[in-house]
Amino acid sequence: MNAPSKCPKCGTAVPVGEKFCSSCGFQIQVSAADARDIGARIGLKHEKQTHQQRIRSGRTTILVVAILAFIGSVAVYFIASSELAKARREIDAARGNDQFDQEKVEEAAVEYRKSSRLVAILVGINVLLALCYLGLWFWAKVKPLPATLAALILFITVQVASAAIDPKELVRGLILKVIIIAFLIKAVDSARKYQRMQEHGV
Amino acid sequence: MESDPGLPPEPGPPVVPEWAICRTCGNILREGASFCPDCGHPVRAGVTRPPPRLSARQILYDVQGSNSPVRRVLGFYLIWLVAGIVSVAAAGEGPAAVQVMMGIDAFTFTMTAGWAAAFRREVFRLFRFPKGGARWLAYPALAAWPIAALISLFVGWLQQAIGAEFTYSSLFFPHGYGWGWIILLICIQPALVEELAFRGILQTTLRDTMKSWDAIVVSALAFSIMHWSLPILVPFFLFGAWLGWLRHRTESLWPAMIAHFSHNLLIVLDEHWPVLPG
Repeated sequence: MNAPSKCPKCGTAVPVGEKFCSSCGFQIQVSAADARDIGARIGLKHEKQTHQQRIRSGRTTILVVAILAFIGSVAVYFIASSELAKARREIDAARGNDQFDQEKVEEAAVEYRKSSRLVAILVGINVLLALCYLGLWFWAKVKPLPATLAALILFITVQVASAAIDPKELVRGLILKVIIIAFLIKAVDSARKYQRMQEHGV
Repeated sequence: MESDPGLPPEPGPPVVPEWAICRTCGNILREGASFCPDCGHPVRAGVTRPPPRLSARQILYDVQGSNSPVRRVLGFYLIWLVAGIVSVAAAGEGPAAVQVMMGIDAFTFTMTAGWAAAFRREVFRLFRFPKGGARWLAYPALAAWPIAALISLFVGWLQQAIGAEFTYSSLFFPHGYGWGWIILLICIQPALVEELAFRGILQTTLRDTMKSWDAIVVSALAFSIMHWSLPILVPFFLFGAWLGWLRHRTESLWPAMIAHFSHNLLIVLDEHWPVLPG
């Protein structure tokens, strides 16, 4: 039941022994009944630590997702690049070569240009997604609740959308995805509860 | 009583300044104090004291239930996710596309209206006249033109790069659905239902747990990602943020609804007549 030297609500300095903060009226000393309720006070402190841990885990999860998304985009780039390079070589070899129908070669060249633009956009989208997650990781340091909530919404939607388009995508890394979602849900829950504790001056 | 003008006034009892003693418990106050440090009563008139501090047990109980707004937001968003899944699973540009759209729109309309009815007190408040005057009904409609122009340019560039050619009209007119249907499903439905859902329900519920700007950002993100098109993520996010700001600034849904309707209408009209640049 030690009176702290700073008011937990407004931060003004409080001389030891005063029961209420002179500046904002916050009750600094707990009531006698509350002082006897040691179990609840210990439980409260324990909960606070749990929430802090879960928020930290959630932040790490967001970073992991950002890294995975970035790695994915790099992988797509390299795989697609090698396929495109192969097609490019075949087209170049066929050009001017009388063995091949030049009209078809030009058609193939147009298809190649379209494909390479498509690949660029695909890689760009994946990089954009990775940057979004990275941004959310930074934001989570300052505002854990909106950031983890946004990350959860983003992640679930992207997974559901890619599964609806190609159901095979859903099964790839399913366990990891479930774990990520679980960590994010716990982080959102804890971020809100921790914020509420701070409002109570805990 | 006449006082002798030649003598100095008699010293009276010591004067204690009014702010020095708490009127409730008599404790001596420090200079500049707003509350008594012993009993917590306000010293000055017009100052309200904070609510009594809860016990640890009460705090634990309150904290346990504090995540209900977040759960509501996630639950409500899940409904839109389900609608998205169905619309993609039944996708296509054949004659059934409009019927699927009608079905999805009926579903989201019902769910959103039902949710709004459950929280009708907060939701009805949003249908008030916009704070700041009638210009907030006109300005969104006008601002919708440059914004639709920008989005149309971006989408045009994207479609050219991918080699896809998508128009809303191609889903409707070739299959016998006329202007009435396209206006209803593409202009009126999103302006009504998406605004009620994302700016009305989602953003308002989020404001219970976070600052207004954070609520705008999260609801704009949900709004843009709900369209299930990653290339369009950033433009729609910015559009959603603008709509969210309109709702926040005017404490009303009407400006956002007008903006959304005007924007979609311009996009649809642009498919037939050159109302937008590019």
